[in-house]
Amino acid sequence: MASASLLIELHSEELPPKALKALSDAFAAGLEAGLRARHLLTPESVVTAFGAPRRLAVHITQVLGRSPDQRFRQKLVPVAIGLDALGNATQTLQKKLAALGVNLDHRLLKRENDGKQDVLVYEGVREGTTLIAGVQAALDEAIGNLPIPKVMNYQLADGVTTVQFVRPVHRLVALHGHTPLPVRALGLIGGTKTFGHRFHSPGEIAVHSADTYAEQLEREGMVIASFEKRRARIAEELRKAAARLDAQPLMPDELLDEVTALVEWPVVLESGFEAEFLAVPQECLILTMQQNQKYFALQSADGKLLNRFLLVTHIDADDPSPIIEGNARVVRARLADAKFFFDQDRRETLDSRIPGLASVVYHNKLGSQLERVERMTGVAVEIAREVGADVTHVERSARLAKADLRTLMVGEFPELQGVMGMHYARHDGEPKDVADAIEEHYRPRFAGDALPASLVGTCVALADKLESLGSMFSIGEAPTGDKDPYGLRRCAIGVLRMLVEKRLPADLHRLVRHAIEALHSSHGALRLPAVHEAEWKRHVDVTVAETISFLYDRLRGLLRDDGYTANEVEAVVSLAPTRLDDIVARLAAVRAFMRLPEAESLAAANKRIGNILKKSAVGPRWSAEEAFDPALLMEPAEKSLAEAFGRTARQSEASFAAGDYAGSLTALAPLKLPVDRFFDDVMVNVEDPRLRGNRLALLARLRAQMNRVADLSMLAAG
Amino acid sequence: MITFQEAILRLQSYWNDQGCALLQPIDLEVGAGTSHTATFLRAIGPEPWRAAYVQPSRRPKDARYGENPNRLHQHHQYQVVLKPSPPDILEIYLGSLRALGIDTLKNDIRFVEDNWENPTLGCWGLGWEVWMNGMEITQFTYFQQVGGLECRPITGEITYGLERLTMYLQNVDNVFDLVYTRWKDRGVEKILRYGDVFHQNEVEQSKYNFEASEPQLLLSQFSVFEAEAKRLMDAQLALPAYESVLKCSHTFNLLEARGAISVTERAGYIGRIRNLSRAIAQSYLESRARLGFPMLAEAARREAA
Repeated sequence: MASASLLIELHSEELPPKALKALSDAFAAGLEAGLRARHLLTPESVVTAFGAPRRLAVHITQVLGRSPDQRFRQKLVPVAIGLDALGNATQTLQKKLAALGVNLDHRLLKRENDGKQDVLVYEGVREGTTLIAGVQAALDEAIGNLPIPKVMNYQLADGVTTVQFVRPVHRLVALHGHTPLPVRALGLIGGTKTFGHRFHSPGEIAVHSADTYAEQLEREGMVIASFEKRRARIAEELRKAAARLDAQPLMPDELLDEVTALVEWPVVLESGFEAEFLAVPQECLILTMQQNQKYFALQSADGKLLNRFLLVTHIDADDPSPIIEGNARVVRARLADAKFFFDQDRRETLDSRIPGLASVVYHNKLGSQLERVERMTGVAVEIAREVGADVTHVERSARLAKADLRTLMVGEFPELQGVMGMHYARHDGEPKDVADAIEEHYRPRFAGDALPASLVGTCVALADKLESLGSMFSIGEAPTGDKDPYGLRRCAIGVLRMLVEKRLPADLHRLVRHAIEALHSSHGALRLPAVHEAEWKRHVDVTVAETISFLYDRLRGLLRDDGYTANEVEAVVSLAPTRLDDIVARLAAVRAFMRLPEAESLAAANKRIGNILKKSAVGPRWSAEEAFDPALLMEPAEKSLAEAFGRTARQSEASFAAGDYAGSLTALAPLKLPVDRFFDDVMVNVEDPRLRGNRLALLARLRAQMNRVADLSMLAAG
Repeated sequence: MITFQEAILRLQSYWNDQGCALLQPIDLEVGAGTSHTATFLRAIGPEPWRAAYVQPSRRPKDARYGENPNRLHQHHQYQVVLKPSPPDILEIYLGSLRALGIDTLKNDIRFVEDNWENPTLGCWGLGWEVWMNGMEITQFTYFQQVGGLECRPITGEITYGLERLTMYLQNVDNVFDLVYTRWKDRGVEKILRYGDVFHQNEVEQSKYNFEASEPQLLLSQFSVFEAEAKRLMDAQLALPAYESVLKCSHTFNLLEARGAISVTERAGYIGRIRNLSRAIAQSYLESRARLGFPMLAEAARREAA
C-alpha cells in the first residue's frame, strides 16, 4: 500500500463545549505521536485536527501503508561469556538470541570491541508494522490519553456492553486514502459512514476518501468540521453584522470558543431588547447576554451598549423570525429580572445595608461579614495612614465595600459584587473615589488582572486581602498542597503586587500584624476558644510569622515569574525585607553587581565570612561594633582590609542612604583585593581570644555592610 | 395553539408509542420527578425499565405568593426514563418535540452541556439542557450514580418543564395566563387558565412556607421520619423506608424556606438525608437481588425468543 492521507473521525453526541478544543487538539496530537512512534509518518506529513459539537476528527497526509523495516544492532554478551572454549554458543547466548526471537547461527554474529573487551553484536532487521496495526495502537493510545473532564459510562446497542467516553459515540470513520480501515474503538468498527448536521442533514454521509472528508461534510452535511474555520467565520460574520449597525461586537475569547463549540453550521442573527433596559448598568446586561445566553453584545463607537445583540444559531432557516423573536423573549424575561433587581436595590442606600451584613456568614469561626468589614476597615485606616491616603475616604469605602452583598442583583449575579456596589454608591451620592474604591477593592481578581487605579482603592484592596490572610491563618486554614479553598494564594499575590508595583511605602510586617491583631481584639464576638492573654500573644506571634513566611514564598514565585534567577531572588528575599517598594531596585542592583569582575570572589568571601561567624559561637549579646578595636590590628593584611573597609563603607553607605543600591554595591568592588589577601595571610581562629574576637568583629562589620542591599552570599557559586 | 393539558396528552401519546409505562405521579411531596420511585429506585440495578409520568414538583423556596410570572411553589415536570438508554435516545426525544408541533428546522434546538448532581439523593449524571431559541425546555441526563451506586446499565432521563414549554408554545409571558384547557359551551368559547387552577394554591402555600409553618413541629417531624426510615430499613422494607426519606427531604425543604436552618446546620441535614438515600438504594438493590431481578429474566427471555 502506498502512502495516502489518513482520516479518523469519532462521531458522537454533543460534546462539552468548554472541553472541545482541548479534546480535539489532544486527539490529533495523540494519533500523530502514536503513528510517528511506529514510523508510519513521513517528515512531510501534515496533521489537521477537526473539532465540532458532534465530532472529533484528525486528517494526516502521507501516512505510509506499512512502516519500513528498521535495521538495528544489538550488543549481546562479551565473547568470553557468549562462547565456550570450543567456540560453541553458551546457554546465556542462546537465551539472548531466543529473547530477540531470532534463530541464527552464532558464527554469523559480528564481533566488536566496546573499548574494554570484544562483544558479540547482532545486526538485524525489525519488520515494519502494518498500517492497520499501527493505527489501531495509535488510536487506542490517543483515546486513552484524552483529557476528558468527566468520564461517562454508557452501553452499546446490546444494552449490556459498557463503554467509557465523553459522550456516546455512534460512528467511527477510518480511511486511508479511499480504503476503509477496520480498526476498532469504543465498541465500533471503522467504516466510511458518518452523519452531518443534526437537523439539516438527514441520513448518512458516505465519505469517499480521507481527502474529501472536510469538503463533503461541508457540502453534503452542512458541517464545518474545523474548529478554527468555524471560529473565524463566526468572528467575521459577527463583525459584518455589527458593522451594519455601526457597532462593534464584544467578543471575549472564551465566549467565541464556547459558541464555536456549540454550532456545526454557524449562522449569525440579530435580535434586541427594549431600550428601557439600558438604564440597567451595562455590566449586568453584558453578563446576562454572555453568560446566560451566549449572545454577543454590541457597542457603539463611543463605547455605549446597544439594545441590539447578535446570536449564533446553527439553523439556516428561510425565515429566522421564530429564532430571533424566541431569543428576544428569553432575554427580555432575564433583563426584566435584572431591571427589577436594580430598581429595588436602589430604594435603599448601601449605607443602610451595612447592619444587615451581620446576618451574612463569612466563616463559622470568624463571624459575619459585618465583623469582617469592621476588621477590614481598621486595617484599611492603618494602611491609609502609612501610605498617606485620604483616611476619611478609605474608611468610608472599606465600610461600604461589602454592603452590596445584601442586594438582590449580587444575590443573582455574584460576579457583579463590587461593580454593583460602585453603581449604588454613585446613586447614593457617595464621593467618586469612594464609589470607585468599592469596585476596585476586589482587584486583582485573577492572575494578571489590573490593580486598583486609585490610592483609596488600593488601601481597601490591601485591607481586604490582608484581613483574609490574617484571619484564615489565625484559625489554621492556611492552604495545604493544592488545596486553597479561600483563595489565599491569590490574596497574597494581590498584596505583594500592590506593594511592589505601586511602590507603596508600607511596612509589610506591621500590616500583617495589624490584620491579625484586629481579629484577636474582636475575639469576644467570635467562636474562638477563650484563652489567656499571654497565649493570645504567643498565638499572634506565631500566626504573624507563618503569614509572613507564606507571603515571602509567594514573593519568590512572583519574582521568579518576572525573570529573576533563584539566586538573585534569594539574595534579596532572605533579608526578610519589611518594605517591598524598593525590591525591584535591589534586584537591579544585584544584577549590576553580578556584572562586576569582582562580584564572584566577593560573593564567595561573603559566604566564607558567614560560615566563619556561624562556627565562631559568639554570644547573642556580642556586638561587632563594640568588639572592634583598631589598636588590635596586627597583620598588614588585616590592617589594609580595615582601612579599605573604612573607605568603601562610607561610600557604600552614602549611596545606600541615597537609594542608589547599584552604587552602594559597586562601591564594594575595591574590597576584593584586600579581602582575598586577608584570607591568604591572616589566621582568624588564633589562640589569643582578644585577637580572634577583633578579627571576627572586623569580618562581621564587613559582612553587615556588604549585605545592606542583598545577601551576597546567596550569589556565590556552588 | 396547544393547551397545557394537550401538551401533556401529546407527550403521553408519544411516549406510549415508545413503550413507556404511563404512570401517575408519586403521591407524596417531592421537588422533582427524579424522586419518584419510578426513577430513583428503578435506575438502580440491572433490570430494564421504561416509564413516563407527570410529576407535580414542590419547591418551597421558589414560592412567590403567585406574584412572579415565572416562579412557582409547585410546577409540573413531564418525566421520561429509558433504561437501558437506547443509542438513538436523542432522536427519540426530538421526535417528542415534533409531536408537540415544534419544527426543528425553524427553531434552534441545541444540546448545551449541563451536568446534574443531587447531593441529597447521592446522584449524579452527565447530559445537557436542551435549548429552544435560547430557552431551556428540557433537562436531559445520563445517570451515572444513584444513591451512591454506579448505574449499570445507565438510565436516560428526560425532564420537560411543562410550564416553561407551554408558555413558549402559547407565547405568554405570565405562567398564570397559560391556557390550561378550552372548550365550546353551546357555541361559546370557554377558557380555563393556569391561574384559575393554581393561583390560590400558590398564594396560600407561599404564606405557609414563609410565615405559617411551624419550625419546631417540622424539626420534630424530620427526626421522626428519619427514625422511621431507619426502622423500616432494618425490617428490609425498602419502599416504605424510601417514602419516609422523601418526607424527611420535603420537611427539610420547608425548614429551609422558613429560614430555620443556618448555613452550618444545612450541610448536616443534607448529610443525614444522603446517608438514608444511600442505605435505601443499597437495600432496594438487595431486595431485587433476592427476587432474582425478575424483570431482567423477562427481558432475557424476550431477547431469546
